Amino acid sequence: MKKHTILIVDDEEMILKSIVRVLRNENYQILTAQSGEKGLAVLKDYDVHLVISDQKMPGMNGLDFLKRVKTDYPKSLTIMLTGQSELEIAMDAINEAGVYKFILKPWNDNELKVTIRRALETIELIWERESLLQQVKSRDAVLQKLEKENPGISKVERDEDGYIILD
Amino acid sequence: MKNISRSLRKSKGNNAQSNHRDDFDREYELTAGLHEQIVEESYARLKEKAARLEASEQKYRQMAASLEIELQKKVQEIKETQSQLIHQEKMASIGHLAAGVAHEINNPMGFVSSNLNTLKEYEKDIRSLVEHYRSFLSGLNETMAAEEVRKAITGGLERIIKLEEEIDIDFILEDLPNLIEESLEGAGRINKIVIDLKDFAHPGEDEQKFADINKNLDSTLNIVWNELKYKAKITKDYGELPLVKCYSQQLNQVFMNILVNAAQAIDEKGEIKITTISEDEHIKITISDTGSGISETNLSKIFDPFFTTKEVGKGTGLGLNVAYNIINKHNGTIEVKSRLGSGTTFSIRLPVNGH
Ligand SMILES: Nc1ncnc2c1ncn2[C@@H]1O[C@H](COP(=O)(O)OP(=O)(O)OP(=O)(O)O)[C@@H](O)[C@H]1O
Ligand SMILES: [Mg+2]
Repeated sequence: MKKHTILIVDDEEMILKSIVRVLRNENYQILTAQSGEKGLAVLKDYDVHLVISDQKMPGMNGLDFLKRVKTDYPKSLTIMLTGQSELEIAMDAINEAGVYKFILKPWNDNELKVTIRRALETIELIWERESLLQQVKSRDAVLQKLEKENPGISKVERDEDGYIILD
Repeated sequence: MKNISRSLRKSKGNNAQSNHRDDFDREYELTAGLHEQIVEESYARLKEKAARLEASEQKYRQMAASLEIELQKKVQEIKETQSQLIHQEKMASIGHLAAGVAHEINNPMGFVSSNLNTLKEYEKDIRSLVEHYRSFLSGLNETMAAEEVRKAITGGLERIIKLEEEIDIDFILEDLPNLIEESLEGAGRINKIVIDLKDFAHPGEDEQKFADINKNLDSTLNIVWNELKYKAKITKDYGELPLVKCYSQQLNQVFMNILVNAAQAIDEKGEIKITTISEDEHIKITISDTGSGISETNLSKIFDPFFTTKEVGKGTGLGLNVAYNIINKHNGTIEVKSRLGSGTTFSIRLPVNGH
């Protein structure tokens, strides 16, 4: 399996460090940033699969940051990590920012690991589906081009006995 | 009725001769009678009226007395509701606080407990490494031939090096002191919050104590830190203060209400300045902010209960009223100066010896 890249954003450095420790043996490339603004800068330079962000931060808050991620990098999944158990923010996070999961602080390390694994599996599935769709589309395009140049070529005609008719 | 009938009888005797005089007499008699009648009548009526007035005066007096009682009762009721409101306000701000404090505690709780979990993992790795070392050592003994020893050493070393790489012992050893240091710091942060909270919300304070107001300000700042930290740079200019006899927790409440207002008045980024100074038998605390300021029309109303310019759910308009009452109770004064668009300053003067 390929190495995934995860970006973790939290204004509290010690939170970042503790999560990096949790994921130490998980074989991910882990990037961290201490604000939404810095997180966006990191996203410009790296192909990030999963973004995990705190909600309450100075400057850009987590919800706004993840909304930006969703619009600018629609292919990555997002997880919100926050101490605020307010339902409202959770709903906004899911509805507006298309957040994949919502994790409460203090978190459970195993749950965090499992959630991240699931998220990455989901991403793999989504990306695979995308590329299959892409393939189907490009094959379709080839066929259409052929058909245009040689009308009838992409259709197979058979006679009553099931034999293919070749002109 | 009786008077009229009598004069009519009289005039019947001398009819044709002096019709004129007769008429005059009759008229006179009539009026005189009428007058008499009226006087008599009004006298009775007045008497009656006086009696009635007296009765009603009595009644009014009674009513006034009972109204007075009623009024006293109402005043008492209002006082009670007010103290209830103050209590509610305190509860509300504590609830409000609880949310902030929860956030403040959840962060260190998050990394401390996660770090301890990691420590458990490290411990497992280190233990297995130690077990390898031990079995390696016990695999060697003096009776072994040199060749055997060499073999045992090479085999053992290989296994140990492999395990060291597997668990990345270099990383663990490097990270361990950091992990412990950070966790201790987190625990310290939680501890501090809990102590401040306990100081702050200490219930049932019916006695004045001597307090260091600078310390009160600091512990209140700690409590509302969550609300202030993203909004304002806090500057402190504390003077040396004598201990002040006061209801210490209630003063914290005053400081909190003013600080929260200041933070709420700041839109993006501002400054809150807190100064304390001692002035003959008094201390003076000023808290100024670079927030929105208060218009002149509103300035006269801010201490009124329920006066608020904040949206529903954000303010009840009790904060400053509560502050005013508490300062009043301390025989102190609270004053405000404000300029729309540039900021607001609250000044509190408190007597050192309470009241
Ligand atoms: N530092 C300040 N800067 C600007 N306006 C202020 C300041 N302090 C108070 N005010 C004004 O005074 C009003 C009353 O303040 P008060 O603290 O009594 O009530 P509140 O803040 O609206 O509600 P709460 O009961 O939650 O405190 C506020 O709504 C606000 O308009
Ligand atoms: Mg207020």
